[in-house]
Amino acid sequence: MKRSEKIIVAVMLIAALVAYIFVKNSYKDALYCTVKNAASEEIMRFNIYEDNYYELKGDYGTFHIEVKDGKCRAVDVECPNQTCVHTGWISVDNPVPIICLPNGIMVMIDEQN
Amino acid sequence: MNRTKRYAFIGVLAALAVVVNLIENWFIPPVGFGIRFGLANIVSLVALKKFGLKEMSLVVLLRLTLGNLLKGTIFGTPFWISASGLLLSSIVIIVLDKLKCSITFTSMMSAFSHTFGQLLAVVMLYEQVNIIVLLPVLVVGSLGTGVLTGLITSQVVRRVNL
Repeated sequence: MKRSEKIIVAVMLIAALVAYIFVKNSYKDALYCTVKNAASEEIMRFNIYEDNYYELKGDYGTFHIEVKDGKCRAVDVECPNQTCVHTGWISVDNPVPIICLPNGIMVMIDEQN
Repeated sequence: MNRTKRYAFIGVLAALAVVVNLIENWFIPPVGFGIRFGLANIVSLVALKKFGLKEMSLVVLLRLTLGNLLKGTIFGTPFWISASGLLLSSIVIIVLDKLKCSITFTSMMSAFSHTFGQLLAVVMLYEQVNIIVLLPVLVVGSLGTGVLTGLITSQVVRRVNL
C-alpha cells in the first residue's frame, strides 16, 4: 500500500472512532427504547431499566425482546438470517440499533426521555 | 485470448462469484452487526485486473441477477439493497483502478462503499435515517474485511496466469 492510501485509511478509522464516541455520548442519559416498524411508525416504547419480556408481531413472524439490567436484545426471532439476534445486547453504552429487515422491525435506544 | 475463451472465462468467474456468495451466506456466520467477509468481491477484482472493465461489469451483473434468482429474492427489497451496494462498490473499484491504487486499498474502499451503498438503500427504502448510527461500526468492520479480501486478491492476481 502507498503512503497516501495509508493516510486515507487512518483518517477514516479516526473519523469512525470520533463519530462512535459522539453517538455514545448523546445516548448517555437515555431511559427508553423505541420499536419502529417498516413504515417508521413507533409501535412500542419501553423503559430499559425495567426487566421485561415482550412479544411482537413482525412482517415475517414473531419477534421477542428481552430486557434485563438496563440492556435489551432480540431473542427467539422468526427470520431467515438471524442478524438481529447476533447483534446481541444493546444499552446506553452500546447504542447500536437492532434491525430485522425480514420482520421490518427496528429497536433502538431513544435519546429523548 | 480469443472471444470464445474470454466469454467462457467470464461465465466461470460469474458462477464462482455466485457460489462463493451463497456459500458465505449459508456457512460463514456474520461477524456481528450483519458484517460479512464479502468473499465474492475477490472475484470482481480478479475479473477487473485479469480481463478489464467490461468483463467485470458483466460478472457483477450476472452475480447480482443469478445470485438473487437462486436465493429467491429477485426484485424484492434485498435485491435492491444488494444492487445499490454492488453498483457503488463497482464504481469505486473502477475509479480507483484508473487512479492506479494498490489492490489492498481498492478492496478496502470497495468493501466500505458496498456497505455504504447498502446502508443508503436501507435508509431510502425503510425511511429510517437513524440507522446511520451504525456507520462507525460498519467503517471499521468493512476496512478490516477489505484488508482480508485484498490480500487474497493480490495473491490470486500474482499467482494465476490466464
